[in-house]
Amino acid sequence: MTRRETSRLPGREIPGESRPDGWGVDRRRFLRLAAALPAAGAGVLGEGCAIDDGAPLPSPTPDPSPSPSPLGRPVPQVNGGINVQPVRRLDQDPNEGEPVIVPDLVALQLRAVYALGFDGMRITTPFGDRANFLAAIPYVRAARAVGIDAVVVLHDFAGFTLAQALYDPARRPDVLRLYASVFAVPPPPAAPGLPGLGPRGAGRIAFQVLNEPVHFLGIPADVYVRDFLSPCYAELKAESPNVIVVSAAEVGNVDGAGRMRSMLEAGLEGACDRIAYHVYSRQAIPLLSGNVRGLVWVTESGAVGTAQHLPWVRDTFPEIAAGIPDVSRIFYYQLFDRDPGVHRLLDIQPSGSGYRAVVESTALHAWFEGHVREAAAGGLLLSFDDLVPDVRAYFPTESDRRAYDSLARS
Amino acid sequence: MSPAFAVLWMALQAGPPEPPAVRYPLDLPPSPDFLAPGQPFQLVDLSYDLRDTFSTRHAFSARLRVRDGGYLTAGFEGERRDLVLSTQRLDLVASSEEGSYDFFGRYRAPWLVATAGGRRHGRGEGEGWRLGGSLAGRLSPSFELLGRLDGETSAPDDRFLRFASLRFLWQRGPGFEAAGEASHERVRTEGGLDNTRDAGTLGVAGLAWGAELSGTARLERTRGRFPREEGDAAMAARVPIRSRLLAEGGIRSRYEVGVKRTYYEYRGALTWFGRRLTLPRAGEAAARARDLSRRATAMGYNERLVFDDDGLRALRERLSLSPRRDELLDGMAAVYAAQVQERTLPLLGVEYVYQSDALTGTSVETVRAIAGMPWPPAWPWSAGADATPFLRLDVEWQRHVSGPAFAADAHGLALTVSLNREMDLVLRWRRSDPTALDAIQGVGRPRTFELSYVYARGR
Repeated sequence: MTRRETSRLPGREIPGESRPDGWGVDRRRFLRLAAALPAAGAGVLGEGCAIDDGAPLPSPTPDPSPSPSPLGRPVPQVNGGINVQPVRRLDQDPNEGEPVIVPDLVALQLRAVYALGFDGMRITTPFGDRANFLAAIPYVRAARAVGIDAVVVLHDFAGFTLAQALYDPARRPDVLRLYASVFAVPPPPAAPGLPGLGPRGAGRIAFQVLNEPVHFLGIPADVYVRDFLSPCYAELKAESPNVIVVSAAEVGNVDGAGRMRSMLEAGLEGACDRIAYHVYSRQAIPLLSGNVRGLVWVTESGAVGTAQHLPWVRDTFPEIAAGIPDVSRIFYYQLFDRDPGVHRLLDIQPSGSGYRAVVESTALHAWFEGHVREAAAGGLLLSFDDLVPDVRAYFPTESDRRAYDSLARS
Repeated sequence: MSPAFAVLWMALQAGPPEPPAVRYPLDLPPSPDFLAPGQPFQLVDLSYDLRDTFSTRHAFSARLRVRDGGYLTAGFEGERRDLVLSTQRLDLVASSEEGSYDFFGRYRAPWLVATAGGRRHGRGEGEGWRLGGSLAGRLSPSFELLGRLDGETSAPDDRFLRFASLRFLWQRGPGFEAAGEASHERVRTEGGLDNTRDAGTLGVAGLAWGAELSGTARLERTRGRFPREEGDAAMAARVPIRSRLLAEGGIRSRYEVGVKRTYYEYRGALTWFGRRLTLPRAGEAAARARDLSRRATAMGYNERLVFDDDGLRALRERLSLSPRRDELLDGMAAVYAAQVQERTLPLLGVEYVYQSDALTGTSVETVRAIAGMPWPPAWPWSAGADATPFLRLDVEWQRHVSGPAFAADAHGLALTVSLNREMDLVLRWRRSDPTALDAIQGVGRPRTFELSYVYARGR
């Protein structure tokens, strides 16, 4: 039996992949899929598939109470992946004790990811930052529950805490076990018939081992592969065989292409399930070889300046796919950040007692929406709130906090 | 009779020149007895080095002249053990380190130098031997053609031949040298990919407009899963400004052809000398060394031109073992006397080096300064004609930037005490902040202390 990773670029049904069960990374030439495949494929493949990320997550409280399918079908996933920050609050509280995670903010971002038809969400989970580590949990669990793959980036926003732990053979297994126990266990799908490629239509989990290691951490390319990725891959696979291990990408310019080549020559292909690139420069595209043994996920790509967003996605994403034939998925960078006019698709502003999303990159947003509308073909679609009426169902549990705290203190 | 031969003939008739009178803190005969045989042994080299960073490492080496037959060297450095036997025409080297063994032999025939060597891989390097050999044919007194082959008995792709090259060396004289190489190499990357690398290198060095200039260019084509073409170019200049001031500068760049510059380095230095400066290729010592090498080659001893102190000492030692050494004695003494006469006496200097590597995302900035005191002690501007180097303090500051502007500073100090031309005592200290990678790998803040003693007879 084979399953199909229906990877798409915005507005196009392209390069998907057909691969054997068991996470084999043998390259398969891409198939052109019919436009209706995501929903139909989910219907065929969603139930009873062999791929199982492990034991189901114990049902959290309150119960997510998924909506019944007569209300519509899930939003078609036609726009590839997107980067999301684990935003938990927008105000500052210097006296904050236990980290506050504002449900509205989590739901707002996830609602946008779901409604805009993304099939993957990439999010950083900083081990060295307890509040943001815990804040990432509901994003990952809820996204997977609605059928969206979650790429969990094992990386700190600042400092070397996680990199030190991943280098240390004595600490690495415990840290990876924490990540596996918190993030790899699949949540129950929020509704039947979801298009995810995980168990029963839920989203899959992927762990990306560090982010731009040369650029952010000063780790040379060969050292990264030998001393970080390879042992993490072996231990993650031993701990949780069905987790997808994604290599770190390097910076998305010409410098990064050279570093990626060094990683590949150091044995990257044998130490991960997906090879990651970042693309922020068109000059880098021809330098990122298509000749790799495995599938490539472009885990970051975008343009600086709101006016450049749509041209980049509309014109450069296809150029990436054409220039790097092993690419099966591109993650747009990014949904929201605090810098206006640079990368973000939308802004988040206070509204009454809650928050509202204000579309900043209107042209790109409309473009994404248009593809969803087109793929839906006028059919009734389930909303995010139909599927997840209360995102708190996916919040960190006491057990998550204990697991993190016991390890962080050790 | 050519004018050059006439000058040489007159010089020979005049007998060996006496080295100039110089003063050292520890007295030294004006000129060593270059032909003195061992009785049966004579100590010619002794060195000891103690280095302490996270652990202590000792290195020791002693070299003896054995009658008139050759030199025997024994030494160790950490876990490495070395044994070397050198005669005028033959060198035999054996060494071992943590399970690996190296053997090397070289025979110097009148118009040919043949070498052969092997390395048995140590623990963690896989089984088998790396074997290699070379032939250097002297086609004329100034031109050599060299070929080299290396093989691996347990090559991962079962291809024995790993490296082949053809080189030329044209030593027209101290004022101009050129060398070039074309090579073909099979390389297995750390990740097990087999690459083929073809490279061409051209280098020149010489004198022009009173300055010493050098440059190299290399073009390398890598074929394999990830093919590319890379170029590397370097230029350096040493320009005397007035008689005691030397300006030095250099640049080096590495390119991925058609893509971008991946590495560059700038270097600049200014040094004030306590006495008139003579560039190594420009003075009497260089001319005498050329004459000596050419004469030895004409006698069938096959010697290249060398211009540095260590190379000239090795040349003298080899020739002192030759059957016709008496005929070469005056030439050896003349070279030595000219070296003493043209000794450098750096007293003040600064150097700045900047390196940037896009592949590793690092940049390194280095500032060095030196301050010297001559013997007899004097101010930098008032050293006497008989002054020699005595004390030299080297100070270094280095900033290594990696990752997101993670800066690691290093500071170093070195004090060199030159007791005479043959004997140095060096104390070094260096402290480094951890780099980003060091911090991740749990490497502390390295502090290195080093103590070295060197005795080199006839240097």
